Amino acid sequence: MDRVIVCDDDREIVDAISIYLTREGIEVIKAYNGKEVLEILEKEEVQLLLIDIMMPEMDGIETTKAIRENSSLPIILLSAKSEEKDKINGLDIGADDYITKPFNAGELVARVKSNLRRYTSLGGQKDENASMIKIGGLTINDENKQVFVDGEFVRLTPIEYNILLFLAKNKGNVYSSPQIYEHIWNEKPIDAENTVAVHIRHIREKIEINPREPEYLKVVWGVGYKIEGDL
Amino acid sequence: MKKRLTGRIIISVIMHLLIGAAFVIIANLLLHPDFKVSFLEGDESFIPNNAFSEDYVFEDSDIYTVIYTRQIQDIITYSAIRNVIEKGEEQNFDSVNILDFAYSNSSTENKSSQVVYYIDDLIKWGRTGFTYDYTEYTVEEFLGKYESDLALDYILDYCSEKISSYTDEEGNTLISVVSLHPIYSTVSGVYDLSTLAGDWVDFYNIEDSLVYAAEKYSKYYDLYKVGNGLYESKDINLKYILRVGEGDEQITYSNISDSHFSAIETSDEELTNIISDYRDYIVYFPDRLEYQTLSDVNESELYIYVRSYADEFRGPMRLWSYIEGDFNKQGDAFSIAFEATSGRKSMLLKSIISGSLISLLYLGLFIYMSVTAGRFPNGTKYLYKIDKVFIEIYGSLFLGCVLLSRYLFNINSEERLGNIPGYFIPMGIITSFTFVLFIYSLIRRIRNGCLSQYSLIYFIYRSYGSLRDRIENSRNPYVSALIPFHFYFIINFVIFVLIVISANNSNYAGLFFFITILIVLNILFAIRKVKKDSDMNSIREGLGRLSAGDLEYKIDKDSLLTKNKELADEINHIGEGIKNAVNTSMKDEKMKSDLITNVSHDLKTPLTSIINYVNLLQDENITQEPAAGYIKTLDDKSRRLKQLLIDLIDASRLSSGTTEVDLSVLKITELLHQIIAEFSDKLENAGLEPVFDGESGAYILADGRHMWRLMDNLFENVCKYSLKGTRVYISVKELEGSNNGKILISIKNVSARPNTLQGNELTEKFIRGDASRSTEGSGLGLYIAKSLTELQKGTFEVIADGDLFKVDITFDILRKD
Repeated sequence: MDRVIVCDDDREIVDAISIYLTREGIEVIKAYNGKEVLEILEKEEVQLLLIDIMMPEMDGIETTKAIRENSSLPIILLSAKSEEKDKINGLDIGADDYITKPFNAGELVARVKSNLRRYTSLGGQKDENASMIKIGGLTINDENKQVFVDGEFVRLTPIEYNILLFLAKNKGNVYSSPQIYEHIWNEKPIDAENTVAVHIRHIREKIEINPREPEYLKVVWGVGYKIEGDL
Repeated sequence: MKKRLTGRIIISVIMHLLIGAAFVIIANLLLHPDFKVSFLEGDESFIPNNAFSEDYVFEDSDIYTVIYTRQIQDIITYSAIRNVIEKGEEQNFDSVNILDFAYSNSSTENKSSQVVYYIDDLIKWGRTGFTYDYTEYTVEEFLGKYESDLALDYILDYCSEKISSYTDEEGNTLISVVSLHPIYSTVSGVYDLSTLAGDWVDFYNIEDSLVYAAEKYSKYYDLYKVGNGLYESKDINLKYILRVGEGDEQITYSNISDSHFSAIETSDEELTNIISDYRDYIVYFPDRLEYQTLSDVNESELYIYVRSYADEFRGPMRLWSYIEGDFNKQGDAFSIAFEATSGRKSMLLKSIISGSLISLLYLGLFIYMSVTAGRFPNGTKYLYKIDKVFIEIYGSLFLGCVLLSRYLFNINSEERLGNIPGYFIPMGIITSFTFVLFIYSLIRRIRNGCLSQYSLIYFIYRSYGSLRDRIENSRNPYVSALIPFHFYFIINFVIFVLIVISANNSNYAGLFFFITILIVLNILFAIRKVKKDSDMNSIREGLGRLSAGDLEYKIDKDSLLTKNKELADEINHIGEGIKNAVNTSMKDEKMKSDLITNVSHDLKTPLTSIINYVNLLQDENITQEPAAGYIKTLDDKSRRLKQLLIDLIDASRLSSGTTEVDLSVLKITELLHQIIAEFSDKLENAGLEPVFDGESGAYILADGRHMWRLMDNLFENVCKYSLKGTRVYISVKELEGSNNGKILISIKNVSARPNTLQGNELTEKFIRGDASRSTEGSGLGLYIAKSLTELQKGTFEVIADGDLFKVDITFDILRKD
């Protein structure tokens, strides 16, 4: 069974999160500041840490730094600060994910599970072959045209699959709607923007936990789309 | 104060004593009495200037060479004269034919070639001088005097100095003759020389020859006597042997004692051998062009003399000479020079050392006096009453003292200290005294910072300036405008009148002066006028900058005239006031924004709990009413609270100007399609149909995230407030005309409820389409959208026309496909 430390100085939040996670069959160890987290980590074996940034005694940033000195434990930061630079800062110091308060319970659970799966399956799956593309938790098996997110099968239409495969093969590059259209449909792009945009939206709804804040298939506003390269 | 003054006076006196001492030393050094050396033709003074140098050696000095040269010249002269005078004595040859003497080298064809006088008589005659007699002849008498065919005109022309003709009152021509008054007779007893002459011309030649011979003999005789005293002595440093003639005719003049070697009996060659062993010897055979010497004596300076006395020598002359170098002989030229110059080297050193010490001491005291002038030891500054006298008057007073001393002591100008006029000493002391007093006063003034305060020129300048400022700044426009104008006019008029007067009096100096004054004054007036206008320009510029919003701009008032300075000050104050107000308001806005952000963050934590627990409640599947309804309300309101907080943070950040912008090139149609796609589900749920209208390949420069955020807000509003079952028109259009180069994005929808507010009021903070605020939304959506648009240099306009709700956004087109 997966064990997760939930750490926040607000006891009610910790309690609520534990209820959700326990329901999903995840064992929760509660902590109320960074020091407690470090103490628990010395004694117990856990698979994930969910930690608030703003806490007394030892905050989430310091704790993350301390853990990162000798561990690759997945860490999800929780914070009331929603600005881009706060997120980047959190990910820079070694956190794996960043959830802003007030969060949606479903999204939180999904992210925890996603990170857990990615962590536990990392060393395990060795049956990769040339036709397999892995980007973070996203796996595309071109042999049988199947897509998995964090190990779970995702059903895509052929067009959707082709778009995803095209972007995944050229990960990191931005493609505009007409470019994608030409590639997938092999036709002159007519009303391409609308068509491609709607398909991309559908793909994101299927593979992303929160389509408005996508993890894999990102919208570059006014330019096009890309799959993040360095996941 | 008194004690201090006394102290300063004592130091001053000491300083002047030091100057006196230095003066004495310098005088002693420079004014060392000249020494005199006797030569044949008189005494000569020498100033041993160069005797101070460290490597001075008497035998190498210029003085030594000069004396040696002069003495050798003397020996040549003296020997020549001896040759003439002594030769006569020895051969009982006491008389001389004056015609032979005067025309020694030219064979004369005189009719009477024998006019012989006793040499003694000639010398005496030359010494007593000549007197003349005047005789008048008629023409017949004159021509009848000699049996000669010389014409009268020829005689008058030839002897014009002594014979002249004139016409008397009766018309007779008379001849006036000046003839020598005879004092001594010839050897044969003839007094009247006219009896010896063949004609009038001959007569005057004889007279001229007589005068020449007498003068020459008397002069030779004098020189002979002097030379006898100077060079006959064997006890002088100069040793010489001068030999004239050869064989039996040979005569040797020498001052070498016979105990040494016999100068007379030794042959030329032997003499040369002997002499060349001595120091600074000279061997000189002018006839054989032989000249040997170890001295610096120049042959050419000797040769002049040899040539001059070639007649007197009448035979080859040979000269040997050397210096017997003890320089210890009483009255000898070399000895005098040696004594005068020896010991001066050490004197120089002593003088330099003592002079330097005195100078240093003086300098030290002067520096001390200068540094302490005008300041007490405890640092407080002071001024004497005299320091408040205008500096110009003070200075001219001292200058007057110096000039006065010059004239007061001028009477003594004959008294000299060496070659320095006597009045230099009192004048020097007074100059020094007044100079230091002036300097100290100057230092006190500068130290107290009142140099200009007590300056006459500055006083006049200041008085004029303050008067001018008072007139120019007068509140009465008649005073401020008319007085300067009339002042300018009158000055010009007066000077012009003066110029005319000067021109009439041909006073060119005055003319030049007044024209110069006129030009200078007008240039000054012009400069001031230009300055006034340029001041006005800088003030105008300042106002322009201020009104353009450059609140940092300050008028540089330092260069302005006093009158305009006040104006500039006022304008700068206005600018500062506005700047402060703006800064304060910016700071307030920032503080407000920070406060809102912090509070919002703090609100998020409890809100998180509320949302989550409401969620948990919902998960409990409570169907029992009214609890289920309560839970629904809680859920709605907590969600709304969440949106409110997010909007609040964004809005406060935007209004405080802390939002960052990261511009990149975006394609408008791509962006709009992306957004429509994002909202496709929501629009469908709201029963709305999006209609995209227009084609454009335009690109704009904007921040993609901000564009998303503002479109997100607009579409959220569209979804919330549109009437179900209507269409939403999204259109792009490239503008033309005055808005050429811009692209217009319009979003049009039909409101579900009537719009109660005007379009632009909707974009104010906390305003929504419905004033009752009963529906979802924070009321910040449009404000945020507008602010974000303007942040990216776009325009944002809301038009509410009946139920039609329209948002127009324009951006500058960067480029097109």
